[in-house]
Amino acid sequence: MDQQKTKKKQLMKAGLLSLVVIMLLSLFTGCTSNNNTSSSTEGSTNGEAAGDNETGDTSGDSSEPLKFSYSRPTWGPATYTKGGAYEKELFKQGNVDIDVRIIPVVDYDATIKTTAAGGNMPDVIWGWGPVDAFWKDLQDQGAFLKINEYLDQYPAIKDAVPAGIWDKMADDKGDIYFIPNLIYPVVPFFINYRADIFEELGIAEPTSIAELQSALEKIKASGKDIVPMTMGNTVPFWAGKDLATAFGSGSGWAPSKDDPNKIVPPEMQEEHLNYKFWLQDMKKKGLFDEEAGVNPDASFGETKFKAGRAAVILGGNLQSLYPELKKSVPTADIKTLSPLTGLNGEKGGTRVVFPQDRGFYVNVKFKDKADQFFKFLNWSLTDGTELRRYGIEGKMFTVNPEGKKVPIPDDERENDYKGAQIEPLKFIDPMSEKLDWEAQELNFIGAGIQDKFEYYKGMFEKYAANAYNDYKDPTVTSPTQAEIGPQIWEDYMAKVDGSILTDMNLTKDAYKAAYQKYLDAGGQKIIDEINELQKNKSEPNYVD
Amino acid sequence: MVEQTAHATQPVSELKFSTRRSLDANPWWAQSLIYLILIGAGLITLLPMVNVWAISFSEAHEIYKNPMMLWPKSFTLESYKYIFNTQVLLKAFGITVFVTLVGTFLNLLFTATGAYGLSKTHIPGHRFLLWIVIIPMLFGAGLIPMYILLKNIGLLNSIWVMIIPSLVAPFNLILMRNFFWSIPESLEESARIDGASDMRVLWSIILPLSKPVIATVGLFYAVGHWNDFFSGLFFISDNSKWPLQMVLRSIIIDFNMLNMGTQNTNTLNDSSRLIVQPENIKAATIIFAIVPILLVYPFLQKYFVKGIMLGSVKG
Amino acid sequence: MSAKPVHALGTRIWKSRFIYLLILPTIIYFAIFTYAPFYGITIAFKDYKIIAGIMDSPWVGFKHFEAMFTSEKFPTLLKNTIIISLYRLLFGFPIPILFALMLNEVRHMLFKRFIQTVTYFPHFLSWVVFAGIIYNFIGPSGIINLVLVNTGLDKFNFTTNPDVFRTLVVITAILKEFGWGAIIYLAALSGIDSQLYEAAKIDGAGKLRQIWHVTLPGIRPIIALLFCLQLAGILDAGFDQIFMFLNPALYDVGDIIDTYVYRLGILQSQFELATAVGLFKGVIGMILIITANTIIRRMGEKSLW
Repeated sequence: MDQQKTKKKQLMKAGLLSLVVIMLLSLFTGCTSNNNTSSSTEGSTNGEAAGDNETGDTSGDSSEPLKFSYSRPTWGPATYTKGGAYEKELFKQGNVDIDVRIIPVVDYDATIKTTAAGGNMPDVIWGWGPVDAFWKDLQDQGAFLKINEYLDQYPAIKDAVPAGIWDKMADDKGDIYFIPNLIYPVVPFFINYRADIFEELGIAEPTSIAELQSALEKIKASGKDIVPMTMGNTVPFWAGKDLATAFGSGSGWAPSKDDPNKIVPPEMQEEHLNYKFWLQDMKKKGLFDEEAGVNPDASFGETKFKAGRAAVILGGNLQSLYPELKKSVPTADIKTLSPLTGLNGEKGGTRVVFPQDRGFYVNVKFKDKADQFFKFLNWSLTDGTELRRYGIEGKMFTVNPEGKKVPIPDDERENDYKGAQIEPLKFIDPMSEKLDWEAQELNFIGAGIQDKFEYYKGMFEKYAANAYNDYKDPTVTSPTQAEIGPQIWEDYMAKVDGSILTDMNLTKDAYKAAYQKYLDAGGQKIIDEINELQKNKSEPNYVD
Repeated sequence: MVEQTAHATQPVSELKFSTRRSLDANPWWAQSLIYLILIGAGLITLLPMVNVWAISFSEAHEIYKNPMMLWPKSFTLESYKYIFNTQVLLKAFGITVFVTLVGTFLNLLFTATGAYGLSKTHIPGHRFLLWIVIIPMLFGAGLIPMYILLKNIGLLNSIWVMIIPSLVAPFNLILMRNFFWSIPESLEESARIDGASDMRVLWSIILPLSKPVIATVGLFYAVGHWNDFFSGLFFISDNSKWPLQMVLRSIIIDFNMLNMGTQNTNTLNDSSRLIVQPENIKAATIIFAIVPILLVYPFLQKYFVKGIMLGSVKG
Repeated sequence: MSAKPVHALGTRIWKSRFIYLLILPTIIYFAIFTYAPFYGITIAFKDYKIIAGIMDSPWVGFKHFEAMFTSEKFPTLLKNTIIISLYRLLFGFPIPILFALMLNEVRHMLFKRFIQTVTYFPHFLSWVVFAGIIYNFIGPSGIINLVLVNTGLDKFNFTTNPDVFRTLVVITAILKEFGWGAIIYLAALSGIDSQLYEAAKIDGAGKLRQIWHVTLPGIRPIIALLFCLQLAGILDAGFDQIFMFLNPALYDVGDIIDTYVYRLGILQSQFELATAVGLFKGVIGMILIITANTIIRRMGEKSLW
């Protein structure tokens, strides 16, 4: 009996022991079993085929497809699936095999910085480029490949980007590491209004700030349950960037009044403060949306306008506003104000932007195969243009009787050809394609507002005619800014600058007093350094 | 034997009262008040869900007019069609289910053994071992060394990265350990006198008594796995291995929302490129992603039954 | 156990070998996944260079801590963080307990389960979504203000009003999490020996007395434990939530350490600052956890050790 018991006890102990062993084993197998599958996905495709690269150099399509890893942000839903039909076609025609890592744009910066810091940089990697301190620092540490010679070798790539932009991408030695993703610098944020409501209330189309204000007052006084003026899908003062031009402000650095050889930030320009505090005044009077600067969801203004609950909107995407508004208010009509005239006769226009929004680097470890990569890029801008730009006929576009390629709307495409499948495989589009009126017209046709197209184009030209620039070269960075800039901004300015629209008691004087503190804490030094470092202080021109 | 010890633990001295009224239930007014408060609490928490549910079945332009609907307007299944046509979502769903099931099982295995061991406060070095568990609750090394570690042990880009690095949550371990700790030592001792081994004690005395805490901790782990997008985001580069929450996140979060108060005007150029998903698709994705995990709790509630009798356990 | 003679240490260890064996996997797990990466904490004292790596980056001493502590905003940030945390502790902590106690009084099982399930729903909505729904109520054109205007009253500013921000944060956090928070207490309540109630009844204890003398002592250890842990996290005032509700106009009352570091650190890629702040929070948490545990032990209650 006793013996039996101890035997049982021993058995139990043996069982316990084996349980622990199993647990430990599972821990370790879990850790090691994926060694082979995971290591090949990122950053390591470069080493393995360094040898056969030399033979593959001369032959075009017959060589082994170029394998590389590629990280980029995506703006849409992250529903990309590897091995789709479009991808197969691109791989075949371009003779590549791309391992894409997509990261939703919200999370891109934090994620890619961790990946880079973890020493796992992919072969081709998106980032902000030399305009951003983090990326500039990495570039200076030697993480990326110098590309000057490839640009000379492959003219299609060089020509895709305006020479002035390449200059900005180069460092002090003239070395270029970064291929910018281009945007067209003229992005007018139209001031759109409900023409039907204006007509009903007998208000003529405003041509100046003063007239706009009185129109808003009339709308408010009319007793209609409608917000006089709201804003598009961004932060308030940026949504009104083209309204600001009528105050003479370009919402960016501009020559100082006292010394034309000096440039100063917007916070030091009376014009810019006039604009900001005018908007505050409008809000105080109930003429500008009470949710501006309050609602954490930036799309509230467009939502309101679409539902027919706002009369004027600063910015906003016409191509989506119009059809949606028609669903709510069938009789609605939208028109756009011509650039306004300011209170002192300033002529409004549009604030243009630096024509780059991120871009990509090539990993320095990818050097051996870089030539083949640039060959692929070059192909995508020459023989591969049609596939890159329009996709596959019948699946992504149709050809109309006039021979124009008409894109098929996203929701009518098969899964493999939807935008979310194409976007991850994009690299560079030339500046020459950025302002494509033909494509714009087709978009208007697609949205069912064909008749609005000529009007829209005319307005675009009116706004573009008077361009306001940011005089600061985005590639110039002040050491003090990098060192303490964000902190002194947070300490002295963040609250004041961020609460103009929410703290109605905040005055221009209080704002200036806070800014003075910021200047004293180091802000002035930043401004001086930038003036010191930026030799050319003339108005930039990105449009030509 | 065991019954006796169970009785012995009762704080008998506290139970001597002068009144002999035997009241099984609360007075009617107290009971009604409790029901009223509970109904109120239920309504308040139910409404947001009903709102999301209603939006998911409505057409987009109706939502602009009145986002606070509690019943679908212009009923449509469009958004659910979108979801079930999106392969990635379905695949991500499968991955999340796998990670939740396997992960929770392994979590409980490791946590329960560790917690039981640490509940034995008499072993030498107990305090030291306990601190080994407490410190990770307070200090973390940060993302970068973790990333490097996972790279070195080959866990990157494997779905096990959502399971193994989060095998034991210190909080859950301590929770469970305190439950084990509060089980009267006398119960175990009497079993040992009857000749039961450590293993036997854990298996047939401690675990049956701890069903509620195991269910709770299991729920915590399961929900943790279900809601985890973080490991997918940082440690899995192949999006075909992403968990559901990661895909969900890319659908429901507008870039602009996170942009408030930044100085970088470059970032602001993004607004023109963002593809904002319609509200009904966002809502449907939320419903799709949370309904399965919502159903887990009612199922577990049977382990929360009141009144497990310590005395009924046989040694 | 108390009757056991005191053995030599070696004997005691040998006697407990199976207990150690049970703990071993946990210790190995923490060794690999928590302690091995701990060298990364040195980032807080370095000028971190990505290409050079953590080990080879130059030391800068306490520079990042100085940047934090000498910041103009630091006193405000610390004050806000602690006040919001204390509010949460004061109001947010007892409510799940009260809720669990009430639920415990319900005899109707179906009703009980229904309420139990429904109240844990909001836990699954992320703060992004939940804050959006809350905003539809309290926003300037939200439902509450609509009602106020329709009844002839003035609109009330909930969203950018420094006077109500903290209250708002605490109330909405309670709304979202009380059901979830009660789960743990419900589990503890179900562990209470029903014989104790029987005995109390026989002794003629009324309902309130039963709650006071049986129910509460039954869940007191878990209350003590959770209190201890929540106190240790006093410098975590709830980033996900506050990030959604915060607005520059509210910085004076609502900007906490985490939101500030987020704006400064993550957006500006200062890994060093984030690590330094993490370390600071850990040290404070450690001090608090030891203090709280000692106090609770003096009160004769089981806590952490």
